[in-house]
Amino acid sequence: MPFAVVAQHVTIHANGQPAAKVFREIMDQTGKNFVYSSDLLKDLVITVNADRKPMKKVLSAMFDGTDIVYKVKGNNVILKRKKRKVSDVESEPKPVMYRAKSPDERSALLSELVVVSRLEAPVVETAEIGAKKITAEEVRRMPVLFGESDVIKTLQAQPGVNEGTEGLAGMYVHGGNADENQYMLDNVPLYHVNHFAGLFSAFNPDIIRYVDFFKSSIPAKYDGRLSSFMDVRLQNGIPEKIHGTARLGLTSGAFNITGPIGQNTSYLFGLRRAWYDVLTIPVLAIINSKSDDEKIRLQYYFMDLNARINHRFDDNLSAFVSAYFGNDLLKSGGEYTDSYGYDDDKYDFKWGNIVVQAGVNYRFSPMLTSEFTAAYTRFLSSIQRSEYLKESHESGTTESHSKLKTDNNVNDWIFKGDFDWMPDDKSRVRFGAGYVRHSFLPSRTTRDLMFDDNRVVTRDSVDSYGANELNFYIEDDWKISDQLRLNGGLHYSIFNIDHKFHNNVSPRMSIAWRPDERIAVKGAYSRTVQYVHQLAQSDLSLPTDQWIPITGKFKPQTADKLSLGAYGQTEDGRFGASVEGYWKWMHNLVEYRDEYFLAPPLEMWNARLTSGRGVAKGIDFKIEKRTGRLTGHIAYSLGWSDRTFAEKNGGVTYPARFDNRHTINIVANWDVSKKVQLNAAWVGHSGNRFTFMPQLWEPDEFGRLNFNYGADAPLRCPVNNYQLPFYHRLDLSCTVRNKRGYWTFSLYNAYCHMNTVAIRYGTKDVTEQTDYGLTVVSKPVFQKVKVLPIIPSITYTWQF
Amino acid sequence: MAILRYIISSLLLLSLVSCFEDFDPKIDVSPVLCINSLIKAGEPVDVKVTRSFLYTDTDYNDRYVTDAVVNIYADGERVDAHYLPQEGDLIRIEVESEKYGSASAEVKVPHAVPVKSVKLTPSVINNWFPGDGTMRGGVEYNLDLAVEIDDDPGADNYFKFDYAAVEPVADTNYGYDENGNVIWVEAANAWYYPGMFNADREPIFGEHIGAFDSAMGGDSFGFTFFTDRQFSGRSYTLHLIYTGASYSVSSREWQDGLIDCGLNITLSTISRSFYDWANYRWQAESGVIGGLGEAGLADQIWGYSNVTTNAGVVAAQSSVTYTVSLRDFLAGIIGQ
Repeated sequence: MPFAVVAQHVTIHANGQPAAKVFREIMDQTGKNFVYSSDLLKDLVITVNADRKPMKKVLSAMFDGTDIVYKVKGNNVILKRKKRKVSDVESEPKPVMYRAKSPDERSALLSELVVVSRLEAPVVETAEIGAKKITAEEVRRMPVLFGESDVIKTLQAQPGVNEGTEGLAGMYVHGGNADENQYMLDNVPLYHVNHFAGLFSAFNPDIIRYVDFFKSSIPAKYDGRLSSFMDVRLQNGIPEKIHGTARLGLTSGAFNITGPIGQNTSYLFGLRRAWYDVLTIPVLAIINSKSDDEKIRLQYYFMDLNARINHRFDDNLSAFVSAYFGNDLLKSGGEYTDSYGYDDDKYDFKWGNIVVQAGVNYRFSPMLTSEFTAAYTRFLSSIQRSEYLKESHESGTTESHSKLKTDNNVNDWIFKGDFDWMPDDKSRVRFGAGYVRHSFLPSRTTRDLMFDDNRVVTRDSVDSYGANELNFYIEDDWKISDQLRLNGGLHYSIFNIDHKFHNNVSPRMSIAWRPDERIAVKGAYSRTVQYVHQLAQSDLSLPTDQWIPITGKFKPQTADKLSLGAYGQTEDGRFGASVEGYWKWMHNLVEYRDEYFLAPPLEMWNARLTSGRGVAKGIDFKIEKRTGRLTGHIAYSLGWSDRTFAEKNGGVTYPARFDNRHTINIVANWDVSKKVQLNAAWVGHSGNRFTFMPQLWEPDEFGRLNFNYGADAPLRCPVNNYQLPFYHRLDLSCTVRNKRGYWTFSLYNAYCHMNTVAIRYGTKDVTEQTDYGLTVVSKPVFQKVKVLPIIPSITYTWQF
Repeated sequence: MAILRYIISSLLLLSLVSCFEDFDPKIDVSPVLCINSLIKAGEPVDVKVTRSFLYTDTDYNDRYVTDAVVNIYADGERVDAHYLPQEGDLIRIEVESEKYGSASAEVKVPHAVPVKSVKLTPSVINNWFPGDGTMRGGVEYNLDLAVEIDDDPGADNYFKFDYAAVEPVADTNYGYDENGNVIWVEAANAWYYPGMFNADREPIFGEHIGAFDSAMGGDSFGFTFFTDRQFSGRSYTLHLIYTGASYSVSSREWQDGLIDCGLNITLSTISRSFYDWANYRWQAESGVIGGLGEAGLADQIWGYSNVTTNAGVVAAQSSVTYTVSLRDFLAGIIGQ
């Protein structure tokens, strides 16, 4: 795979080891994933010895003489059974490499146990519904806005995942809200996952290894959000030599490097930074050069920094420390000078996430492995406006300083241990426990006004909340028979806040019946609990978005979900098809109530909220081609999602904003040659819901209201009463490789269909015959607000 | 909201702009009755009845409701056109129309809160008077008014502050000769500008402004509504600052009326519906939420109404007015 920054050499010594162990070792060293049918490797043990040998040579040696062939496809190593000729059937495999275990040796490893990731196995072999593993290669190949590969935008092409507002990296899974998705970076939750008002997600696509995504049957390990869980795993292998990439795009650049430190230690460093502030420097210089009296200030950038060090103590023990720092910074304002004085106005916005993490992976025995994590994660958001005003007059000067600052942050200390135990050849038990110490500061606003000798300082809500969260989970992936598999588990959590204890048990159950090797039918139930939610006034990711805990009259949000699915694939695994249905009941959802904006900021933030419920249901269809020069999928989703809140829409049930009845996703990737790849993604869905208020009423101005212009007022309508026009868009990209790296050419919205995001009150000028002759008259008209035309972009990635 | 608009514009520019396309939503709407009334203690009730209309409907004359029957009730009793509302009256307005149905709204006339004291502190910026009592010259000054009010305990009170200039009274510029004939004499003129009122210098006028609104440049310029949330049952001193005020006069002789100027400040206790209406107006036009809603990035906000049809506002107020005289200040400046 030419594009991944991973090692291509492995050092491995195995003597009669289960294939699972050997593959896990190779995966750790190379970042590759192994994909195969479970029956293929049943009872397979491997003997192999290699020191810094190319991975392909090691693989060839391992399977030499067997009926197994491998193919490196992207970041995956696909194993298949060789098509048998008559002579092959009669021949014996070489005993050196391939032998059946004796009954004593039978450690009862199930075939699934060799799967390095729970989403590695073909979907017909697992019990999970609605789970998807996304590889780094898939992320890179997805054509996106400004050529910025994006994990979340890649997931948006999956059935049941809606993108929300055009261009943004929002994610609305099976009728849920945007804050109901848990994003994790190497097993640690992140609160803030967007940059640039949501145009890009915070995950640097150049250094990820894979992403596990769950949206229907949720593993018991995960809880804390209602709709989905996404665990982004970074590269963590120990490469033989230094590898890296440097990427230069229209809007951002990135530099990533990984390499060894001695025999058993490696490092990974990734930095991505946007250019916008650099781009605006000359523009501002020109604007500011035109006037000595007015200087405009504007600076924006975002950045992500990842650093990680891995160390392997021995075959059974490895450890890592890592850090992530991502933030957005916007500074604006200006300096103004006139005969009366000087005014310096500054606006500073800062928001982001910090994660510091240490982890240990320890193998107690071949059957029991563990992962221990200690982490600190901090979400912070700060808005500050400061103004210095100096006025000159005959009797002297007067000065005033005003400053307004608001902070919102969350600090979490996380400790957890996860265990993976394979007691026999039919079960795989995962269990663990965790503790999180939360500290929330929903909003603290300070206003400081100093005018000559007068000073007024006011501070709004200063309430901060400490909370303790304890959780335990256990699940068993039980292969009852070759046809029947059950995955059952429990997640138990205690959330302690405001001297209240919230206890919740989240049962999980999924069962799969496999009447044929190529077909599986599954059913699942999951309950999820959410103690923390995000308050956002808009679809944009803004520093005002607050993460707040459940307090006061509000109860933990819960969701109960039933899912059914049927899956099939061709014998060679090239084609697959699935249909998944779901019905989800969401309770204790929290939302801004009607006319919440009339409540003064001084009131407690939760006085603006209302609690309610939601129901989502739907069915997802997907057909995919997994291998070959042309790969991709066609997906169709039919869905409904509505909400009912006591104090919103007058208590009447209304459709959710992104209640998109029909959604179609088509993704195609074509390897034209070894050097050229073409990628296309088309999405079409029913328009988003919009609160359209076609009627107005004429107000009385009640005397002098000095601050307004006397416009007519919109007449209240049912919430989300109008569906915007059908949305559709085609994105294209082409990757051309050369000796040093590769070019990526992208076209966002290739056929330039600007989609409607809102309806506005507009006017248009028309010429009318009046008593005074032809007159231009401004007539009121409704107008669609359409955004984002065709946007080309180009990126070059240099590999070393 | 200059900064907000600047940032949104920048975003749109980076996104290679948006565009607007005219369209007809082809929807049927049913007009509803709209009631507007500001009920003032001691004044006859004036009710304005119209109907809602489609935004694209340009027949302005058709918005009036000609068949409306209006009934007014005070504390449950139907009253006639001569009724004068009193503080504490609960007033209900009901409107019936065969064409547009019915609508009603209710409001309580609040009790006025008197101004407890006013302290006047002018600070001179420029002074062109010779200081010998001659009424020729001018002065530029800033004015700081400290207005103390006492809040009624046990009630949520809403207030509105207003002011109006009290103009100086100039002598006539004509006279009579010994024969009684009108003759023109040199004019004695005075010009008075009360200054620019800086509502944003008094924090309580900005209590409705959220941190993000404020950081985005939203201010309380011209917004003089406030509540007693921060001083419920206690007294509060409003700091009212007028900058760049000026006074000039041209007269050959001293005339008292030429320095009789100042400010009439009016403190109105208003109904919550009036306050919410004003707050809505600010949020729609100057708040972030209004701007984002227009751009399709957030829910749009509808007009606040306390009428059963969601159209119109029935509000009430009781006012007291206090005159702030600049006479002593100006006399001192002139040197009288």
